[in-house]
Amino acid sequence: MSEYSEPTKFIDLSAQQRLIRPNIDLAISKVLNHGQYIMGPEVKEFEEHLRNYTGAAHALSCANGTDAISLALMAWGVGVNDAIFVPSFTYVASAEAPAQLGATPFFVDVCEDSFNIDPESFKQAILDSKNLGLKPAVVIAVDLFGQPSDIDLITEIAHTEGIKVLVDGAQSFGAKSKKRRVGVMGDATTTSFFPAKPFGCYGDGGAIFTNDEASASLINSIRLHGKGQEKYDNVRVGLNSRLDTIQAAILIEKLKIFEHELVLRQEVASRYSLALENFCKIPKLSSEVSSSWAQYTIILKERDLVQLKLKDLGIPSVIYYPIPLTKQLGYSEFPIVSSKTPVSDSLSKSVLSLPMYPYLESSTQDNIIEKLIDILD
Amino acid sequence: MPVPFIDLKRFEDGFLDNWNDKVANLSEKASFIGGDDVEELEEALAIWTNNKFAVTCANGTDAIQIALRALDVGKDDIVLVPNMTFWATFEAIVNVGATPVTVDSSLNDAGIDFDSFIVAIDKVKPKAAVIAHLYGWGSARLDKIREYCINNNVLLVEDGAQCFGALYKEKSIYSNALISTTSFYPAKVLGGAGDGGAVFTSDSNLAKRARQLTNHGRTSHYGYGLVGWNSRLDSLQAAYLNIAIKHLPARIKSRQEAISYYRKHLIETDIQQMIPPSDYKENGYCNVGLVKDLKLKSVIETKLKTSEIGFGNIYPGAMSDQECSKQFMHSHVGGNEAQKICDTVINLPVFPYITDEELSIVVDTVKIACEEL
Repeated sequence: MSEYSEPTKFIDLSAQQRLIRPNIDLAISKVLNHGQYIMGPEVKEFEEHLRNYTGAAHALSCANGTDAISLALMAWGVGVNDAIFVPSFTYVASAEAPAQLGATPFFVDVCEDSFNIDPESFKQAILDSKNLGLKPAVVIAVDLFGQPSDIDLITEIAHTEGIKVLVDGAQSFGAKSKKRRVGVMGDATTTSFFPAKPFGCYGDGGAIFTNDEASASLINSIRLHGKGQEKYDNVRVGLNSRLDTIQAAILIEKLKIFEHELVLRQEVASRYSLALENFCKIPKLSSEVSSSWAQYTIILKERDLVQLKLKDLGIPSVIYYPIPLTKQLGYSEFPIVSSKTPVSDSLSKSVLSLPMYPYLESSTQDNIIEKLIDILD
Repeated sequence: MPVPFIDLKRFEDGFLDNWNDKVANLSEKASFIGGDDVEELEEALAIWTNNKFAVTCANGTDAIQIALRALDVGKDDIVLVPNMTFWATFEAIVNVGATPVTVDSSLNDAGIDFDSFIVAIDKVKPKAAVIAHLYGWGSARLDKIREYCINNNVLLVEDGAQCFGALYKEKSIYSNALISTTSFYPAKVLGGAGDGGAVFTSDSNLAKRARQLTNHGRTSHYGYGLVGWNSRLDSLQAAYLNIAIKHLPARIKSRQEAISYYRKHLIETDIQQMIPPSDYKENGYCNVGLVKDLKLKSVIETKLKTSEIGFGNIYPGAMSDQECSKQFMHSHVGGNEAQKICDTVINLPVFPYITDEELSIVVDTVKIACEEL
């Protein structure tokens, strides 16, 4: 029987703090000392680290993961009448970015095992979009919970139709597919450095990766108000979307421990899987991928009841996501694949994410597991 | 001795200690999004601007987009914009799907030209207008502009990126605006340690809408009823600004003194100082000199460069003249006074705690350049 004195947290960033605080404080001080708060030297340095880490030819930091998607789509000239295929079972940002540009998010179903885009649903949606008079333009393949999608198959389907592939790696930075790091697949990859992400900063942040130089150059201009050559030379309509120098400095320090944290996350996930596999549907990774384990998500028959019971026992859990995008009021006007999205709908009613962070102590985790099994049994 | 155009490292006594304490506090709590510092800042901003509500966001450009969208301005709506402003004002209008109409600016105060403004309203019947309060003050006829918009059903957004702390008729310039915005870009009078911005209004519906839009259009716990943005002010930035705002009166005073110095000592030169209309107390954002003799302007700038003295040209080009504006614009109304400002403007170094020695070096260098010609 395990004892624990502090309430269990869903995500606990304080253990990481203790490891690296002095380095982070120093990094922040350096920025205040040079005063280049916008596009300072640490931003360039961080982007170089990102290139080295992912293997991508180009890495451009920006204000957040949603903007990262917007920047990629703007570089590709996405606009009105373009169909942007997006899974219904994901965070709203994946559909929000194309909608803001006046394009048409086109909702597609996901696979129950991986939570990622279902290639068959995607194929059907391409046909549907043409029938609606839309131009199939981009597929946003979300790596949900940190597991890379079946990207080679999706890319094959997409490219055959002239559709560009955007990997929404908001949760999957650090993950791999067939030994390739997230960041080098698709036509571009985006990620988020939101604080609760596996690789997060002290505020909002994001990045885009691509091997295409022309896109990279465009993205660089667009994130800086459509900059041309000089400061007040604006050659296109852009955004204000920059990663603060302070955040870049913090991320440089965090990157140093990230690889180790990925290992710890995998250990936490393995521990859950070993203990829970006979009691509920646990996430199963394909043999070709590794996950960053942004979330550890199980599938339950009586999800709401279980969540309540866990809460009464002091165990936090979160539903990602309770309402699929096809059922969100702000997105009710957007088309849905003709074969519908039954898996997304069903998942939204049955998923539950358990506490997951690299420094989750085994005694605390054992307690979570014990209580959960008690409830499920 | 070199003089920078701006120096952001002249921290007041205790500033860095306060900052380090805040960083420690936020780090320990891992409170990086929202939270007490954001709340505290928004309360302070509401008081400073004499508005009921302040909604912080990611930057000044986003603030304009959020304000427009909160007003339901969007696809195919016509929005007036002054020809003399930063590109972001124009961008924001395009980014919400609306169509800009550029309107000439006034040579006197760099605000929108009132006569052209009312012609434009009559001609294109815009849904909205964005005006920019440049240089730390606003249009001589701000009240008239506001009144005219109300009477003619034009929704007015006031881009106050540069005028935080400025007073109009003895109250904050943002008082009585339907909805206004500002930027906390580090070089602004109230500047952060990274990007930041805010929207101000006393209309509770607009405020509520704005807040939803900054947070992905979230309208209920699990519900996203609007298409919004990710546009938040980091807690760290709010913490920094909470410290900075306490020093703001001293910083503004220092800036104002620098500008007075320039006006006093450059009065005999051919640099025509732009001064704010009499209803304003400027916030000291920048010094504005117009050098009509373009050859002289070039000589002055060269001399400043070789003497390692920073300067600005805020701004070198009108909106309607930017490379790509034509494809987005509906039309232009009025003349081209804006370009006269763009062609002739020089902004000399102004920042808090610039020293008398630095000021006199700048003035002496400028005077030498004038004599050289």
